[in-house]
Amino acid sequence: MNLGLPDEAQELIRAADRAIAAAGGVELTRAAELDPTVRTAVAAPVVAALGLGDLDVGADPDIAVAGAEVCRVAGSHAFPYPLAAMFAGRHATAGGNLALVGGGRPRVDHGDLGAWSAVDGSGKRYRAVPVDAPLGSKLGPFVVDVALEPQPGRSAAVDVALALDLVSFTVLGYVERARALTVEHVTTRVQFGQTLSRFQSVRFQIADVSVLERGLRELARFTIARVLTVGDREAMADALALRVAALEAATEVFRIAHQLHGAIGFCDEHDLSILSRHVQPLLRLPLALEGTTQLLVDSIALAPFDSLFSAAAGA
Amino acid sequence: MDYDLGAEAGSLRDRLRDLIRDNVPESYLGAFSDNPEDLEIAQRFCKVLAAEHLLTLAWPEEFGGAGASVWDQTVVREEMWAHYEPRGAQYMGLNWVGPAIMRHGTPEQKAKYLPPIAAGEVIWCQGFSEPDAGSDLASLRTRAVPDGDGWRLNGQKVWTSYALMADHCVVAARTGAPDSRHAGITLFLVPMDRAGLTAVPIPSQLGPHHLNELFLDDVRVEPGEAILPVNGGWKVMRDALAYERVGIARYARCDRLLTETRAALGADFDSAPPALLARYARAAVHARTARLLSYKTIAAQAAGEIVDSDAAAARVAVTRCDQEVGGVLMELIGSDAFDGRDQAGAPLHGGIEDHYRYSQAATVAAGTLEMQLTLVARAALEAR
Ligand SMILES: Cc1cc2nc3c(=O)[nH]c(=O)nc-3n(C[C@H](O)[C@H](O)[C@H](O)COP(=O)(O)OP(=O)(O)OC[C@H]3O[C@@H](n4cnc5c(N)ncnc54)[C@H](O)[C@@H]3O)c2cc1C
Repeated sequence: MNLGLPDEAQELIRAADRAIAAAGGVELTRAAELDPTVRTAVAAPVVAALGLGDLDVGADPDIAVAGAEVCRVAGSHAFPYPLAAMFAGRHATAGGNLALVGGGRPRVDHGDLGAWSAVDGSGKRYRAVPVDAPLGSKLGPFVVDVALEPQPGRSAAVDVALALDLVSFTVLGYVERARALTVEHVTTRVQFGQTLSRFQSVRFQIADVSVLERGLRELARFTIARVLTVGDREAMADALALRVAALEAATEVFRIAHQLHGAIGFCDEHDLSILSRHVQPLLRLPLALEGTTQLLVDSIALAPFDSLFSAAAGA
Repeated sequence: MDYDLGAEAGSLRDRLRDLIRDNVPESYLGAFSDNPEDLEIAQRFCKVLAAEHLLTLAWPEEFGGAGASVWDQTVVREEMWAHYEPRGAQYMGLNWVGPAIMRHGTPEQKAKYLPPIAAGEVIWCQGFSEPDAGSDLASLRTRAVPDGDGWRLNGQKVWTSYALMADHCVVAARTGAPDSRHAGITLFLVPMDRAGLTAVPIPSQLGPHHLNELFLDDVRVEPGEAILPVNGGWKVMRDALAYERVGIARYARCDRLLTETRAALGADFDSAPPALLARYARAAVHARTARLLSYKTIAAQAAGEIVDSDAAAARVAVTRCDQEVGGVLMELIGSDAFDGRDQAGAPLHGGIEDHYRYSQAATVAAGTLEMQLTLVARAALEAR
């Protein structure tokens, strides 16, 4: 499978990384937590200057990959803006952001920014109207309670799949940054006269993180490369599979990252603490690991999961 | 099975639950919040316990205690931790600072420090860790230099829980040569308002008061404020940490939250994904195993045969269970998981969210998981 990207897309991804870093990177997120208007005053202009609002990720596979990679970059900075939802909405509803909603109280990360539509697992469409300011809580700083107003029509499964894939790419970005911070920490922190990286159990933990990150990256690339071509049912099964992998990886990577950082990783002056808190809405909305896995189980019950032997079994 | 909680345990547990119900609001999640009311609740509750002779239940009678069995003490610890420790930061003083002074203090130190602890009037904090001395605690560098009949302390401590609430700190400082490690550390009982001692809060995802920095700039320590002998601090520190490892009954809060979450969710619990319910069931099993491993260690302690690796094994099980329960319950409450105690209608008043955040540090605080695993491995290999 050719996962190479045209130069144009590569350039966009690099530009996004530079622009978000120049706007402060994780520091911007820290500022937004103190003053949520920073999201519109600083983050939104970065998005506009990059021309990201014009990117139609559903138009062709290369653009889908480019958009997904930009989401990854945003995740690696814990960028306080709903980029994945913006891309998904631009394609599925020709404007506004698109949220995925599951069971329980309807909530949307950054649900106060811009106009939102929402879609549930069965494809039912809604308008999502914020009913309150962001929670401002530790694990959901920008999570907003919304009211859902039913809308006519149904969303195509591929639109929902694309929206899910973009969130998973964002999670991949968080995972990459957590790994990078942890590698940096264990190679500089000295205990018992050596850097932590000299202890074999630390090396094994770093290796576990690395294997999870690599696996998630390959699965993510595989999934986004074919989302527009495999057909509705398969795109949805792919997207659920990717989300399961993303949630598994993120949970374990952040656990190990915190463990290897020791006490300092819990301090909000450390980037790890910002990342592990701000990734929570991505891991829990619309559904967390077991809820997502159940949807995948249901999907596999209807048609086999695409594998080396599935064609023979399902034919 | 080599323990028996005894006939009194059940009625003691009931009595404690009654006292908690009558004196501690249902929404109480510990004294460590930005709301001073929470600290007041804890302070008041300590006085109530003191009046009922329950605060120093575990202490020997000569120091105003009730000389209770270790199992009565275990019941107290379980009920306190299960209810978000309504004694607040007092537990440090009651559980290890007081006992350490009983064992190692001079008659003057006992007379001065024990009665206020027994009356629930003072808060102690623990100044062991330093920026460069975490797991390798024996490398600590805060220095104590003789100054007339006393000492002068210089250096920095970090992660000092409750420092801004505390009246006193037990500061571990180097009195031996710079490379004397375990053999050159002395503990000092320093009032927090002593000139040169500054505590600074560290904002963290665990919530307020859990982490602070402590700067010691030429802090004068009086002769009666050192725990003797000089250079004998390491043994006392080990006892303190051993206490923290077994003494905090995290499994009790796990049990309570598992039960109460199920009740609070009602029909939503039953309709959760089967895989999540399976994780819930396994977490309940792990909480029970963790409790039994803790009981085994407590029984051994009572018989005077403390085995480090038993305590470490119990702690591995307890802290992992703590995180497992946090993960399962957060998933069960779905999109309510973002609600802290300040959000109206948060499940269990935000108790699940609070538990989840705090549990992330369970495998780091008071000795990391890896340090415990090292002890367990050594014992298993030596048994060959
Ligand atoms: C909530 C909380 C409250 C605390 N309260 C207090 C307090 O009141 N007073 C106080 O003095 N301290 C307190 N501490 C500090 C606590 O004791 C330390 O965090 C702990 O000892 C670990 O030290 P560290 O954080 O520096 O991590 P480090 O020692 O730097 O460890 C980082 C990582 O490296 C691993 N590691 C280190 N050495 C080895 C090795 N040889 N082999 C394999 N792995 C290794 C560790 O296991 C860990 O995963 C508190 C900590 C927390 C989180």
